[in-house]
Amino acid sequence: MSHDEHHDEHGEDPPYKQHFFDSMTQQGQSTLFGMWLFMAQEILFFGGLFGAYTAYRVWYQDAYIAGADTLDVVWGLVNTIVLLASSVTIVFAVKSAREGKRWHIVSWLMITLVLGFVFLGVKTIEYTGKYNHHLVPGDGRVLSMVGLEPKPFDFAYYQDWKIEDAVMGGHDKHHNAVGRPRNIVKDAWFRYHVVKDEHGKRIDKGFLAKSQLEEFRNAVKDDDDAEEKIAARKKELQAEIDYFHTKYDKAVAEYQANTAFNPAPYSPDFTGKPYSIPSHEEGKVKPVVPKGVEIYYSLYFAMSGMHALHMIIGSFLLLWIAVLAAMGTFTKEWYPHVEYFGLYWHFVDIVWIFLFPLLYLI
Amino acid sequence: MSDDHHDDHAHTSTAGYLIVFGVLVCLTFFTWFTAVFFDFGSVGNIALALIIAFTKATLVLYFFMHLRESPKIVKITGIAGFIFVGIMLMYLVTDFIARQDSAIDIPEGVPWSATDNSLPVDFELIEGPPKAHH
Repeated sequence: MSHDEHHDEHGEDPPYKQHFFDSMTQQGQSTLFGMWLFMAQEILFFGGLFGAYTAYRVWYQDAYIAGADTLDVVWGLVNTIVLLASSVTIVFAVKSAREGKRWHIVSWLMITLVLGFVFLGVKTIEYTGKYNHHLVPGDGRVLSMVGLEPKPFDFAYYQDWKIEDAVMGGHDKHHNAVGRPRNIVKDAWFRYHVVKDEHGKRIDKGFLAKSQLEEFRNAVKDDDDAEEKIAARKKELQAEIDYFHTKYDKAVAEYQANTAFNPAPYSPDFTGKPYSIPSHEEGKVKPVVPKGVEIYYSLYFAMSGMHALHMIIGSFLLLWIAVLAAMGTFTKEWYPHVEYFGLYWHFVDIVWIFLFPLLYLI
Repeated sequence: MSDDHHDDHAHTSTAGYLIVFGVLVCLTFFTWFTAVFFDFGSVGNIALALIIAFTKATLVLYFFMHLRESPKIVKITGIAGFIFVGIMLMYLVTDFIARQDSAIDIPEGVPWSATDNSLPVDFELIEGPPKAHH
């Protein structure tokens, strides 16, 4: 290479300049751009998972809420803070690299690695709990294939301890351990009143009352006292609905007073059968499993697992870069490994920023 | 990297990073607090949580990932990823909303969330048009 204008600017080429770039400026901008392109496709990759989450949420809203209730929000909060902290430490590593402080880089990288391990450790605790109660997707064949023992699907376990916690924490049956309103319990009441019409379509009690009132209105529309009759019938129907409300509250109170555990009092199967008190044998609670909750767990494991995989890969990269830094590879002017690893780590952080509310909170 | 296209004084200071971190932690507690203790309806809670998440992501992108100090081409690339995901999700959601009718009957296991969000116990609202008096 004969000398050109860039040589005049910078003197000799530094050893880390690739021969196919004209200058370090060009090399720096190109590699930075390349790293961002990589992250843009990572965003699209996770976007596919978020799309699946959205699509099934439209259908299985109840299952998502019930599934999210079995995750421990406190672990989620801890992990969020830990990951945000690791983002700051990696920023400081980049800052140290910019200032040419070799051992500061190594220290900050190591702190980041420890925080990453804390995150993965918490994830392990959470996954173990889910495995022990078989809140995992599939019917156990996959577990058998990898040598694990399939266990019964134990969704009720989480409802029980949530309510025990709620009792300990002074909450009531309408709130779970963290004080979140048990909307699903309330909603579930309406599920009992779902009946099928002559076409096999599902309609609920309120809807039925509406059509009954419509029928009655047509039957008496020519009478002189039609208005009064309709008003009376409407009162009757409202009383019927109120009666169901009362009956429900009473049944729940009785049931909870007479059982060792206080399960969430909603339909065991969501089939739309007429109202009945959930059955239990030998003081054991019949598991209450909202339909589609397996889909929630599939998505939970796919999304948080893919995120954890990124962190595991990141940990290996981090070790490698720490070794490079300790060997004094980087200079004040040249530390792309540290900088681009920082970008990668922040990206992983951003994914978690979205996963935390979507999987734990809402 | 080489500082040819940005000067040292353009970088965020240590205190600046810590402030951003503090804001991020506060937003985390805020999103937990609102999601757990407040009921804005299922759509309202989801929307609020997502708005907070986007705010946090923007802070990370802008300060921690140095988008603030980066060349325009990098800014465009970073934003483009989110825009394309947004387009994908937008078409997905509009499709699912438009297909609500077909979600009523198939498959058998589908719960009623898609169709029965309204709980018409109060049938005052759906009584029909008022009748003319004679």
